[in-house]
Amino acid sequence: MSPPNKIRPAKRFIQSSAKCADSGKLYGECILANYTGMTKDRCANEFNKFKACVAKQLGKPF
Amino acid sequence: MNRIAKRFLATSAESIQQTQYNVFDRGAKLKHRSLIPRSNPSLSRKKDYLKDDVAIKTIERLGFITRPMDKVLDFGSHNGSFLKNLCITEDIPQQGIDQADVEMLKQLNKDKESIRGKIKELVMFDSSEALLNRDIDEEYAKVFPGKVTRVVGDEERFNHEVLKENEYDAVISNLSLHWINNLPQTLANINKVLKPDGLFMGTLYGGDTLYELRTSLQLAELERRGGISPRVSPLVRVNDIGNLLNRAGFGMLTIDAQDIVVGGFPDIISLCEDLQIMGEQNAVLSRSGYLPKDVLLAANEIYKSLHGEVHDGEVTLPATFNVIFMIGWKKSEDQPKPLERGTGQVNLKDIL
Repeated sequence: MSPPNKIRPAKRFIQSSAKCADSGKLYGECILANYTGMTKDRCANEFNKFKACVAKQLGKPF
Repeated sequence: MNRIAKRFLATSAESIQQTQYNVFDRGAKLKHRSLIPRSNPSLSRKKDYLKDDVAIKTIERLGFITRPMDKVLDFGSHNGSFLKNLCITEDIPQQGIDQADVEMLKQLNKDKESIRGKIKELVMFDSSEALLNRDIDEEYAKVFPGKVTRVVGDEERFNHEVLKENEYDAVISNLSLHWINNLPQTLANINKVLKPDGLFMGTLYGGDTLYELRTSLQLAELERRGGISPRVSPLVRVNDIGNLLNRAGFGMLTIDAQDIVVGGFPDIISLCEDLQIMGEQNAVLSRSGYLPKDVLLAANEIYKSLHGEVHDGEVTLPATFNVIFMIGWKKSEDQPKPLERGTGQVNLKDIL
């Protein structure tokens, strides 16, 4: 276990996604509207926009 | 040719008995539960909140039991939250608290004292040595007048020498039975170590526990990958508990369930970290062991949209823990029983 004040990679990753709250919210709303009949890539457009924003925050693609 | 066919088609009864369908990886679970208590005990202590809460509820319930409790087994005791809460007297604040709450705290302190006095020997049994001995030097245990024994052993194999038949007046077990593969057998074993008319009081995480996390991960995997994998344990439903306890030989059952909702997690990772520190991360045998970043990102947003709570403009995530409380008594000759069929003297028709 890392010392408490060192941020773990997963935590840093999710924290940088918080700066993309708007596009993330659009993705979440798309899922919310479609959750009864979910299929693969149903919200791909929204997710790709969100992912691009997070990658920009991180400074690297993932 | 004939012989080969025989070998493939026949299954001896003996081998059927030995094959047990395992869901949980007990070895991995043992590592999960031991890691943080060993490497960072103070961090581990910070995440005792659920165990402490349930231990207090158990004490409140034990307060109603008038039977002797000379020898008690705490089965799957973790660090000993039961002992700790039994020994620590609750502070009663002088202000800002209403009278009913003051009375409740006073009653709780009274219950703690009386139960402490009743237990002559407490045996704490757990598979993780690091967790069991984490608080062995704590000062609070000094107020406990009886003898405390800490025993390391496998809960599922149930082969330790302290687990003798007809030995215990009461067995309690808090929040650890949900990692047992063969729950019917383990409950039957607990029944065996009880004295006749002995009390079993247990709690475990039930069906709707972490449903927010489960559904978010499922939707995220479905949308990103097109399929789902087991991320959250399968859990017992409250409807099945009665049947399970009956099969294990318990009578006069009392079963109820309670939702404990822990709110305020900023994101899905914080919740998973808490679970990890508690030693409650995924240990399903068929788990994938890896969560793609795409799915993680998606699940976090879905969690926020579907279940998020808004406080002062910030979205926080709640996590529900559905705790099932069960009380059962080992059957005995001198227990009150229902009268036999057809022995009623009064016709209900005359009354209704």
